[in-house]
This record gives sequence, C-alpha cells and structure tokens, in this order.
Amino acid sequence: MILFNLLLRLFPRAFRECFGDEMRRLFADQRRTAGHRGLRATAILWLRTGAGMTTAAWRERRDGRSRQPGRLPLGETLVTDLRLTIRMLLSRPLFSTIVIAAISLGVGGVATIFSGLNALVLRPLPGVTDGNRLVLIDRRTPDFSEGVSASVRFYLHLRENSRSLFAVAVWSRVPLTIVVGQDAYGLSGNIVSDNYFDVLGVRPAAGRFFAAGARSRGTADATIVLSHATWMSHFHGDLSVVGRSIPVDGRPYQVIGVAPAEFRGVFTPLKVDAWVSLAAQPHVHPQRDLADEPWLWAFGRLQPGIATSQARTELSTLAAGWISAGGDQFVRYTSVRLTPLTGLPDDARQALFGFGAVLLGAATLVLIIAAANVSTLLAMRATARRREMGIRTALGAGRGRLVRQLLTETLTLFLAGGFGGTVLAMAATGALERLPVPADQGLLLELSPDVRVLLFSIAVSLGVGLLFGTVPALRSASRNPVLLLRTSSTGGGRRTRISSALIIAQIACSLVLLTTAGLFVRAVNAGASIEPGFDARHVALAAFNTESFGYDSSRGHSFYETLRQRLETAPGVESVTYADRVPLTMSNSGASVTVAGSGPEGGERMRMRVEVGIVDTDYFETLGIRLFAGREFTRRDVSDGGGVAIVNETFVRRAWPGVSPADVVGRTYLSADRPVTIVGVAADSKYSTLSEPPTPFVYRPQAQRWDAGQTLFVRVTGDPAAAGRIVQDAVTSIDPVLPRTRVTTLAREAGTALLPQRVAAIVTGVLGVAGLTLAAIGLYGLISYGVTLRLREIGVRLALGASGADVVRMVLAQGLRLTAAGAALGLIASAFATRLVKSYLLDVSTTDPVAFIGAVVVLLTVAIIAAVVPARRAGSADPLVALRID
Amino acid sequence: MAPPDPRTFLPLKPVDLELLLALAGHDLHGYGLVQAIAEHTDGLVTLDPGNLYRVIKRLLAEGLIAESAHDGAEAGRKYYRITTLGGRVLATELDRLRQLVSAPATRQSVKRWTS
Repeated sequence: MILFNLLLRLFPRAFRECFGDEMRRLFADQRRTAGHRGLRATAILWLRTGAGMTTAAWRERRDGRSRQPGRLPLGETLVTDLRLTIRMLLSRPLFSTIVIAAISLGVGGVATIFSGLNALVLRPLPGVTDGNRLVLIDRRTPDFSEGVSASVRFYLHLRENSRSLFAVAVWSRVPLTIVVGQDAYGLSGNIVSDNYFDVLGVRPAAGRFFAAGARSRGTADATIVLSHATWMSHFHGDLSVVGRSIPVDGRPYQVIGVAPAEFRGVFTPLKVDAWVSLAAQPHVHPQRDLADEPWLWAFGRLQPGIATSQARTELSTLAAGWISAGGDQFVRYTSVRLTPLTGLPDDARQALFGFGAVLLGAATLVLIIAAANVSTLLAMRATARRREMGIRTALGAGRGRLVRQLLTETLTLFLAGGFGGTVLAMAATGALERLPVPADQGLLLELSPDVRVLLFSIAVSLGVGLLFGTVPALRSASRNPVLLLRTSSTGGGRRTRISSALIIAQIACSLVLLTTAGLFVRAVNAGASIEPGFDARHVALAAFNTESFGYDSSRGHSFYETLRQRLETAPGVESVTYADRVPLTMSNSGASVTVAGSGPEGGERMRMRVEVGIVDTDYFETLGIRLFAGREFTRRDVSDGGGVAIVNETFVRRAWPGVSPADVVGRTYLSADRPVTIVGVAADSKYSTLSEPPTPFVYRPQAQRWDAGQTLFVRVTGDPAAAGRIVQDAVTSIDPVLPRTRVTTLAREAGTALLPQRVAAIVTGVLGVAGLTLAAIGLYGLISYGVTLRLREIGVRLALGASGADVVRMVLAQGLRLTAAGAALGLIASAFATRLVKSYLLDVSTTDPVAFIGAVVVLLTVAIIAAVVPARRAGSADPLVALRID
Repeated sequence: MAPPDPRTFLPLKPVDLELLLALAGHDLHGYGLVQAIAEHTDGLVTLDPGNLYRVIKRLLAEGLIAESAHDGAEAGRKYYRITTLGGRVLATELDRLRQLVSAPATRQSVKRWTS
C-alpha cells in the first residue's frame, strides 16, 4: 500500500484530498480480487495500475494548469510509447517477470543498504522543522582528536554570545523511574534545556513543552514531557494525562505535554521515553551540577544565511575567549567542531558510514551482475525482434522513433525493477531491524525506506537502465532494413562475444562476493574462538541506577550493599560483584597516568594512556579473570584510605619491562598527581572489542569512586538465564516499588562484540547467494542460447558419428571456459577487494585460503550445474530434427 | 435557471457513456463501477483508480452524476448515482447512437467491411 500511496502522491493535492481514500479502497478491493486469481493477476494489476495512475496523474496536472494551446508532441508520443510498452511487456509475461525480478534483486540490495545508511547517517532528524539548519556543537582540541562535553556554564556562554547561531540547546541522558498505578517502570529519559524543543522546531502532539526562562525554580513545579510511545503504552493515549501529576524518581512531576510520534530525540537510535528540564537536575541527576561539570551534548540552529564554517569560526573564538577568561579547567579544548545534526554523534556516524560503504560496495556488485544479466537478455530479445524492427523501418519508422520506443521499453522494465527493489528493501530492512544490538543502551533502530530511498532506487535503476539498456536498443535499431529482414543468424558471433564478456564479469563479481562473505564467516568463527580472558559462562548481569529510584547516595550505597548480601546467600549463587561497565560492549574510558621509576635504570618518568574500569570486591573471581600476584579489592579499600589499583600484565610490561608481576605489587604510579599503590596484577583480557591490541588497563575499587549507576554481575552454578528470578526477588524484597529489572547474561551481552562481523557475514552472504544465482541463470541462458544457435552444427556432428557424450563435453567445456575465466578474474579482484574489509576481519588474513577455496568450490559447483542442463539437452538432440532447422 | 440542454454534452466519451450506463441501473461505489464496466465491455475497459476518479471528478463537475446517500451501504464508502440531467444526457446520447447505427449509410458500411 505504500507504493500505491506514492503513486497517489503524483496527483495534485486537491484531487487526492477529494478522492484519495476512495481510490485506496478501490485499489485494495482490486488487489484482493487479483490476489485470489494468483500472482500473475497481481503482477498485471500492479503494472496496469502503475501505468494508468501515472498517465492519469500527468493528465490531471496538465488539466489543472491553465490550458495552453499546442501540447508538447514529445509528451504525446511518450504516452503512445508507454501504452505500446505496457502492451508489449504484458504479452511476454515470463520475459518481463525475469527481467524485473533480476533488476529488483540488484536494486533491492543497494536500496536496503542505502536505506539503512539513510536512516542512520544521512536523513535529517525526523519530526523537526528545517533540520538542515541544525548543527551538533562539539568542543574539541584544535586538531579535533579529543573532545569534551559541554558544561552548563559553557552552554550559557555560547547561548548568550553567539551571533551566528540562532539558538543553542543542550541535553543529556538520564534514567528515570515513573510509577503508573501500582507499578514502577524504568524509562530512558533525556534531561534538556528549556529551549530544546523550540530550537529543534518540534511541535507537541498534546499539551505544551518546557517554557523558556522557568529555569532553577527548584523541583516544586517539576515538569515532564512524554514520548508518544510512552504516552500510548503507559497511558493508552489518554489526553487527560496532560496536566496530571505522576511520580518520577519518587517525587511528583506534572505531565505538561506529549512529543509527536515521529520525533525520537536527537540521537535517534538511542531510545527516549520522556524529557525533563535541566531544572530537575538536582533531583534526577544529583551527581552532576549546573556549573562546570561537562556532561551535556550541545546543538544549535544556524542563523539564516550563515554557513557552517562561519559559525564554526565564531564558536571557536568564543571557546578560546572562554578559556582565556578563566572559564574552566579544560584549557586544551579551544576549538569547536560543527557537524550536521542527523541523529548520531559524529564518531559513530563515521564508523557506520565506513561500514555501510563496504556493504554498499557488496550490494553494488549484485547490481552490476543483475544489470549485466538483463543486458544479455535484452540483447537476445533484440536479436529476436530484428524482423519486427526491419518491418517497421521498411514501413517508414524513423530510427530515432524506434530507439525511443526501445528505450522506453527498457526504462519501463528498469523502473518496475526500481519499485520492486524498494519493496524488497522494505522487507530486508525489517529483518535488519530485528538484529540483536547491545540492549542495555536502550537502542531502537528504525531503518525503513522513505521517499528519499524510493527516489534513490528509481535514479539507480534508470541510470543502470540507460547504461546497460541503450546499447542493445541502438544496435537493434541501427541496421539497414534489408539486413534486418534477412533471417540468417549473421552477427551472432559478435553478440555472443559481448554476452560472454558480460557472463565472465558476472562470475567474477559473484566470486568477489563469495570470498568476502567467506571471510566474514571466518571472522565470526575466529572471533568466537578468541580467548576473551574472562569466563562469560554462568554469569548473569543487570544494570541499576539508584538516582533514577530517587535515592540519594547513602541510600544508593545501602541498596547495593543489601542486594549483594541477599544474593550472596541465595541458592545457586557463587559470587557477586559490581562494575561500571560490561566487557566487550564497545564502551571505554581512558585516562593517562605517570609511572615513576620506569626504564632500565629505573629513573625515568613515563606518561602512559590507560583504560580504566571501576570494580567492586570479588570482581576477578566472578568474571574468572586470573590474578598473577597480589589480591582482589577488599572491604578495607575504602574511600578515605590511600588510592589502590589492580593493573594488568600489559601495564606491567609497558611500565616496568622485565619486572615480574609479584615484584610490581606495592609499587606506585601517579594518577592526577596523586600516588596510587598497586595491590594486584591481573591477566590481560579483552575490554572493549575483540580485535583490540593488548591494552594497559587499571582497575580501581568502587569504594573509592561512588557512582549511582552500577552493573551487577552474578556467577551462578546453573543456567545464568534462570538467575533473573533470583535477582528480581532480591530487588523486590529490598524495595517493592522499584521497576522491574532486566537481567541478561554476560555471554549474550559480550556476543554483541561480533555484531559488525555477523551483520556483514549475513548481508554479504545473502548478496553472494543472490549474485551467484543471477550469474548462474545468466550462464545457463547464454549456453542454452548458444546451443540453439549451434543446433544445426550439433546435428551435423551427431550425424557424422559424434556421440552424445562428445557433444555434452563440448558444450560443458564452453561453460567451464567462461567460468574459469570469470573465476580467475574474480580471484584477482577479490585479492584487492578484501583489503577494504581488513579492519573487520579480526586476525583472519585477507587472503584466507579456506574462504577463497570455499568460494571457488561453491562457484564451480553452481556453474557446472548451470552448464550441464543445456549440455545434456544438446547431447540428446535428434540429428534429424536438428538438421531440419532452417 | 433553466437546466442545460443535454445535447451540449454530446457526443459522450466512451468511458463516460459506460459509466453513466452502469449507474443507470444502480447506485455504485468505485469498485462496483470498475466491475460493472469491465463486465459490460467484456474486459475491454478496465479502469485503474486514477483514471476512474478523473472521470468521476469531471462528471461530478458537469452535474451528470452525484454522490448518493445510499442506505445499507458499507460504512465510509462513497456511492454515486446518476442525476436527472445525467439520465437525460444518457438517453439523448443513446438515441443519437441508435440513429447512427440504424442509418442506411451505416448499415451499408457494416455490410461492406465485416465480410
């Protein structure tokens, strides 16, 4: 129905408003009736409706304009051409279906990837007004390599002094707990400046948004805005909820409005259920402050007529001025980078863009295969229609007219393929949205195609159509009619040569796809066998944030402590710990430390970048990480004691080369000029990603760094998935009004580390199968065609005593020659192409023999099957029949 | 104001004629119209929604058909009926066609070309 709606959009608005609903209803009926009659009836209905609606819309628009005398003759012939084309295509349903299916497959792949890229990277934010004037403001070092978030005071500085930006707003994420009826629910909230919605230009679906200037009046008049989804799911879309008071983090908040359904926040993949004002910070996010702490993302709206570069210069000047006036301690961050606000932070955008480009490249290969395939089919068809063209030329049709007719036919086929591709993309993106993503982030993917994708598909298919469809059209219309009318198969030789070249190209492209897919599969396997350095089996985990429960830090402390005690005594639980992050979920936090007494003489001072994790007691036992020397953190490592740390092997190797772990215990390093004593040395493990090199890592005790957000890890004896009940019961026993806890397993969460490889393996695998199928059909078609052309020759051979097996061998050899040439070309191309995906392959080589040999074997098998069928037919030909062909 | 002379609408376009003929029997909605016309013309005229509603729009504007308040209709569907003017136009057109078909010159032509 989306397609039909798009067709409807071709009509003038007034016409649509008047008859749109009726037309939709009528078409629904027609489709239902056609559906009963089968696929063919449906296809014909779609073709006929598409053509009819397009011409009707064109006429309606033409009538709407002031009627001017003298219609464009081009338009009139176009209508004639179209009518002729539709009739022609309907008269050869098999040919049309195969061609359209092939193009749909090719365009569908490209459109699917483009759709994903479009949704995540390209398209302006949904739900906002004039989104291309919005920019993400990113405070950075002058070389842009490092960034710092905005503080409230920095934000106010920009807001008050910028002339190039119309307005500036800030936001951050904050977990919220609301109570509806008797039940508490954990929400992904955003805490935003009061002008957030105004700057974005979002209009409320109900009620209003935060009023500007209502800042810092405390929480007495605390307000909350609900997302449309939350409003529907928790309040059943009840309008009377606006104005009502609901408990948020234990205090009453007035619901003042509902955001529109299409608006999903600034970073669209991050789910957002509700918004609270910055004024609520002391209550919902007390760990932060409204002064100098950097915890906010900033964005702004450009003044009309101001270019991004101008605004960037002005904001950088403002940032530098801010620092020289003693604004804050982040003195190195004197620059500002502005990037379009498209729904992702810039770094994630770059990474996704690179990944998407690789997949887009793979999809393009399928498109090339499909186009080459269709080109061959069209060429064969042109040969078959030479007589028709000859007659039409002889009757006086101009060459230009014939070419135009043929081009119209070709482009109509490709256009239909473009629509088909969009339909395929809708289905495929639906499947991609269901892929498992790191769930604790509250991710929500929305990849479905929009009008931009449809236009892209149409442009691609028309472009490819012009490129691959023009040559056959020109060739079949170019001949002298006398030549065309002669029925002998002269000229077949050259045409077959071109077709052979196209087949070789198709086989080569398929092989590139197969090797790439093979490499990704190998990478997934390799990743699964990489030793992460911890034991993920039997570990359940759950994330908490006591701030969102409305707890202050002392109550939060006691919550975590009680939960640990209850769980430790629960049956089946071996050990319990907390940490600030989950390994292998791509999260990281770096710091730099200074090591004294480094170097061979022990007299050097060395600065070193390290990764830092905050962990509680029993962490190493719970995660199964070996300690080489020293001890775990204990209850004696408290906040007022001296700083202590456990470091990993790589830390030791870098800081004190050649010193044994046992000798490192007791040494100190400097962190922010304060000494930290090393109390233990742990084995290396994988922290952020599986492909990371050995990283110096420092564990600090949680007791010395309180944070309201913690991840609970529980090692159990049995199935960790069953630990959910135990954890939930323990939480409820502490405070019955807490929201339900989402408990998962470490194995599952860490499994998302291989997500890019897995997605790439699935996508390239599907594309590879599609490409191979197309190439095989092409090969089959070409050989069959060759057999038909050579049937007389084959008859002579058989009559002269060649056996059926000889003929089979001869035809098969032809197929294998083509395949071998394609495979050789494909192998060379693969060797280059696979380098582009090197960074995703973990430690698999880009010329991994298993992947390459496997791909070649699959290709050969399919090619032989495709060649054997026509070969056998040739071998069993009856020489008498074969010789009688004129 | 006197009703317009039916003859000013003649000759009717083939689709208009078919549509008025279909509505002369019963009030119909869009799908019903498409069905009736396809049946009546042996599938020669099958209308897509775009072209059907273009014709409907024009006939509505000319006052030959109107929306009908159809009792027992499926909820939300628009039915169309033929207006008095439309009926008169249809009758006039059919009369014209009858004369055309039965004219001696026509008969002779038919005889000559159908053999």
